[in-house]
Amino acid sequence: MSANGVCRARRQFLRNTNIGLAGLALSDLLSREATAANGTSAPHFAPRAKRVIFLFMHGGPSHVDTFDYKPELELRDGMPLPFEKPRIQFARTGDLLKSPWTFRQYGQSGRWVSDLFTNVGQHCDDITFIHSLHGSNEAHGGALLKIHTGTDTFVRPSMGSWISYGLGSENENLPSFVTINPTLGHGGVRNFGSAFLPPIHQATRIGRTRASMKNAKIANTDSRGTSPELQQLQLDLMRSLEYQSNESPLDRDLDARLQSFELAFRMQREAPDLMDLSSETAETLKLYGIDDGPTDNFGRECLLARRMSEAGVRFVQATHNYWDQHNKLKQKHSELAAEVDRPIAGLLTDLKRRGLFEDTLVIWGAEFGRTPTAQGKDGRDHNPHAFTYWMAGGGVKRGFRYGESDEFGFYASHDKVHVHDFHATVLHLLGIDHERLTYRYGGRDFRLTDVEGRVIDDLFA
Amino acid sequence: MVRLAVVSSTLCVVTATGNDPTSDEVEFFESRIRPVLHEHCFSCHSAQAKLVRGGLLLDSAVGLSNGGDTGPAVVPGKPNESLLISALRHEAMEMPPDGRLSDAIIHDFKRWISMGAVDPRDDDPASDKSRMGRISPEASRDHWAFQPLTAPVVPPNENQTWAQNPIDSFVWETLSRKNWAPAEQADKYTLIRRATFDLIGLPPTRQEIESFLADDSPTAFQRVIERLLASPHYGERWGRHWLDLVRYADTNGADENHNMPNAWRYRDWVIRSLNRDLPLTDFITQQLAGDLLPVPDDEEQAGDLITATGMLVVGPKMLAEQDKEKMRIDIIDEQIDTVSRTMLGMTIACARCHDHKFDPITTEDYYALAGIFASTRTMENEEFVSKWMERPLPSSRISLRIEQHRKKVAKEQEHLDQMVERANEQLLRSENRTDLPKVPEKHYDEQTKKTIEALKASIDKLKKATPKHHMAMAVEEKKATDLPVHIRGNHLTKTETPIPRGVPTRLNQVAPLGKIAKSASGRLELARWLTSSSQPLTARVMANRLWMWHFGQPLMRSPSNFGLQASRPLHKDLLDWLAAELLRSDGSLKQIHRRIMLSRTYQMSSRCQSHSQQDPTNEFLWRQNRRRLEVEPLRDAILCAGDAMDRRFEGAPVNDGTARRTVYLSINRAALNELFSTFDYVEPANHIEQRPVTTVPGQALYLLNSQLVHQQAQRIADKFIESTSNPHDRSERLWMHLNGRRPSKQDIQRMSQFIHEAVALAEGDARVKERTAWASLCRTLIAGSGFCYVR
Repeated sequence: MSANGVCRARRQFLRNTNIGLAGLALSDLLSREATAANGTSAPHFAPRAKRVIFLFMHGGPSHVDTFDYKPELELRDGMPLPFEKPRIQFARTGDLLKSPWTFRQYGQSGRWVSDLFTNVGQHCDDITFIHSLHGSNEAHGGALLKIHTGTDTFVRPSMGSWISYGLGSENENLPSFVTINPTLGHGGVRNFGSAFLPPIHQATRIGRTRASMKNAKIANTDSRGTSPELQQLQLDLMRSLEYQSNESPLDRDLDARLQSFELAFRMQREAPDLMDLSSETAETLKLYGIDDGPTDNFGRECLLARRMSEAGVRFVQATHNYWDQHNKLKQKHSELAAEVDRPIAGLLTDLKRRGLFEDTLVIWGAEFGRTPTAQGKDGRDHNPHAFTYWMAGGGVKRGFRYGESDEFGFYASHDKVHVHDFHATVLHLLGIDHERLTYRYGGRDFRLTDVEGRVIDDLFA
Repeated sequence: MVRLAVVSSTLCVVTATGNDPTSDEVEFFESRIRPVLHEHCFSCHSAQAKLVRGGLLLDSAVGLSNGGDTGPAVVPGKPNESLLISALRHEAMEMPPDGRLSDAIIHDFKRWISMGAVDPRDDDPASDKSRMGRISPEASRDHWAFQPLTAPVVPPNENQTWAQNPIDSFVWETLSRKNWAPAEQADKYTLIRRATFDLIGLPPTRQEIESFLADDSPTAFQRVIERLLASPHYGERWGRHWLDLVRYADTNGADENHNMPNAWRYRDWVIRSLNRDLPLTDFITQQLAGDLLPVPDDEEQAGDLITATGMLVVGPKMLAEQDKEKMRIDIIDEQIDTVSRTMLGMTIACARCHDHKFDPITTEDYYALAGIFASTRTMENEEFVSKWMERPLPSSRISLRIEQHRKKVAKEQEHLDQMVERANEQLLRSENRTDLPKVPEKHYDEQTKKTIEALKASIDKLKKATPKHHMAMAVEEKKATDLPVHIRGNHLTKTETPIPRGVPTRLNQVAPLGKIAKSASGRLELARWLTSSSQPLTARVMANRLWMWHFGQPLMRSPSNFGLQASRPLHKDLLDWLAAELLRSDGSLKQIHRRIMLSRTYQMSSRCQSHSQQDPTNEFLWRQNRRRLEVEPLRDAILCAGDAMDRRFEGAPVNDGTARRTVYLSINRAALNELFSTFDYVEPANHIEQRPVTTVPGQALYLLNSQLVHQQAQRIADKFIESTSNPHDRSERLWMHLNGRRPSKQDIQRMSQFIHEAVALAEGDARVKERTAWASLCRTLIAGSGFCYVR
């Protein structure tokens, strides 16, 4: 190996780092449409949260078996629902079915949480529950698209893409939107796609449904045995050839392109470190339930989400599935909750002790909830008419609950929060006015919330 | 119009019940009702509201009595039948949405309605704000894109020798207004590379470059163009452009990502049709209504007419939507959106919920068009998870085989019947009975049982092996239906009057639609109208797209929106000339390629910088545009460079691991190949008017680290190491191979220096070091703009 070559490469790298890249925002690298990204003046006001971790429970956990306690349901177990069921139902359900789990009160706030989430329950005093979320689509695909993009009818950008578009990345070496183990069914990429927004705002995907997180990687960040020195040499050659065969100074597009290679080079160095959990203490790993059977994989998702948030990724989604218990509710919900309860509690604890809790918004939820009426003997059907979301951290009240579903949890009944309202509220917490975050496409301006959306400011601390 | 009729009938009712209000009644309204309306309702239900909700205005007496989308708000004298009360009680709907008003207030409203709902306000808002934007009739009348297409006069070529054809004359005239000169002609290396990528999406071979260089005749470039137009790769390149417009994919995406195993037949139809230079009129007509054209004798042609209608079926659908009526209207909407943006350059789908804000398209217009698609069968069934239509392609050969096979099955069946009969006879005889037991099989001897079961199984197997017709995604006619307006796009609230099937009124004035027979969907009439020479939009839109795919930028900058928002383009005359030329040449795209590519305008260099300050986007066309290869030619070029391309044509989609051309890779809407999304082919569920060109680190990572680039780079390196031992020659040839031009002295020098340093950095024996160094040089050149761009 030529020591000289390495030194020169290193010098060159430092030069690039200092001169070529200082102050280079990712958005500067975008050509044409992408320049529009700079046009949004977000944040529009002081943000309460800087970043989001969205814990998405694909399939639809039952709100009446987890966080929305319904004593009336227990009393009327086996009796018919005393009011009409919705016009459209996914499947036929029978009479009311009480929850197989015991609910207990937690903390000063005295929130009721079922024994499926005893660990999350410990954090109740730091959580805001919304019990009156409602959407409209009874099928997974439509409901996923609605919760992620605001519509089950049209092709539109996802919430993470809008946020990336509005705020960009906190770390120019990393993507602003990452999704971990998303489902590729039920809308698939469209749930984390940028649609008509510049493609840089689409999520960088790591893994897919329940993929093992142990060897998870960001695509093409493995240099296939090419040493950093050799790659630096490649970049140097590229730069000099571009200058040689084009006009000097290089025009904006080609210059941006060269810089994107340098950025890629740095991403490639940063990403594996980010994905590598070995720098975490044994105590932290334990906190998330890593290397401990059922909690291992989602524990890794949660820890990775924290590492990404910490490193400046604006929107991280970690998906867990498959909470779709048309039958075997008791067995499967127990197993699934056992996989996520400790990791989620661990994440909240970890964020708090690292001082990240104040400006990181953690959101827990799914595409819908489930019916209080039984499907078969031990199952519940999809229910988009009422379900529970909870938020914690960045700017939301602590130990608070908002909205109600009816006495059985079939319909949202009080202080209803539509999916659009939820989106408007999340954007608001990030300092974005959902009515002003627009993008012009096909002749008109588009918004995440279309012409809807009400900011629920009662949730704000 | 429809809505006005409803409005006036409710008005009559109110007037009939109204006597002169007493002062007490007025006082009650003023003190108890009006303030509540003002405080709790006006933000959504007044003329001042940013957006009037539900079509309901409560800030005037007229508005209150008219009611909104769901009917009158108030039935005077009958509080329990008044929607307003139900809404206030949070029953039928919940108003105000952010919290129920007190019982006392609701009681006041009940009392007020019981008293006759006196509303003394005499203000008449007059403006029907619930009908959203109003398009000025003048603007609509005068809009340039709606004017008939007449070939504009070609500017005279006085005092200049530059112009080769009318395109140049138009461009020259525009440039001369600025006193700008066009860029010089591009060199021959650039020209052949540009032309080859443009027409077939592949790089020119070394031999093709050499022979073009050697050809000094004035028709040398023309010969190149003719050769490329005759290449079957042409359809693969231009077919892909078209597939962008019609949101082609191989899986459904949307909610249930079902495989669409026959979508590719439509893709191949597009490729074949473009290779045959099928006239634009036929190309469009067949996609909308091929099934309604006279059936040709030739089976393949007959099948093609069915396959072509796959355009209407390959869109994404919410197959698991349980509200099947919603699914139906969503599918129609998706078809309208695709057809109107692709063919007409109009965003008609905007008018599903409200009159178009910017264009003269009303909701009535929308539902007139929707009726045509509602009278067309796109779905085979509407089961729990619904299934799209597929139709068998005619084949007498397969029909014959099916017939033969059926006979074979029948024969076996007969054989079985006989065997059973014999066994039964045997049974009667041996057990000395007169009638058979209930289940005779149980009484057969073991041997007979076995034989019969075996025969049954083999018949089942045989039945399953019945040959099948090839199926294509396609539509057919369905009972003709006119649709009423769905108020605010809601399929649960419809007006009463069905809108006759047709095209938007304003566009019908431009060119009238043929009469739609009572029993016909109107698809054929729509297709005829779209392609009629008196309807100017289709030709203008297509000419603009053809230009875009040759220059990277369209003449009219919003290629799928020629509505009122699209101001008259700078090169309007050129665009019209080109559109007229398209009609004159009977819709031959190949003729337009010739016209464009033989112009001086097309052949200009892209390197010129003279006006990049004043006109950075080259609107005036003072040079060609440097363009980045889209994902398809990029991947294809990498495979070609490694001499690995599998050039087989057509067929079922394949995965990324193969070396087939990219147009044949499976397009999975829900799990889109990351190669596609990284390189700007992001959303195959939507009409794509123009691929974006973004620069993101993911692209660089792909070019630096992907398996494809590493594999091919090593193949190229090994080949060139093999071919010559002289590093100087080797780098010169390698450059030529990848960039299609000769390197400069400095280029060679830089490459040598790189190899020198790379060998020093590499590990292993001399041969390994050499291979590593040259492969990394190849990767660097592939990543460079000389490879990834067309100049």
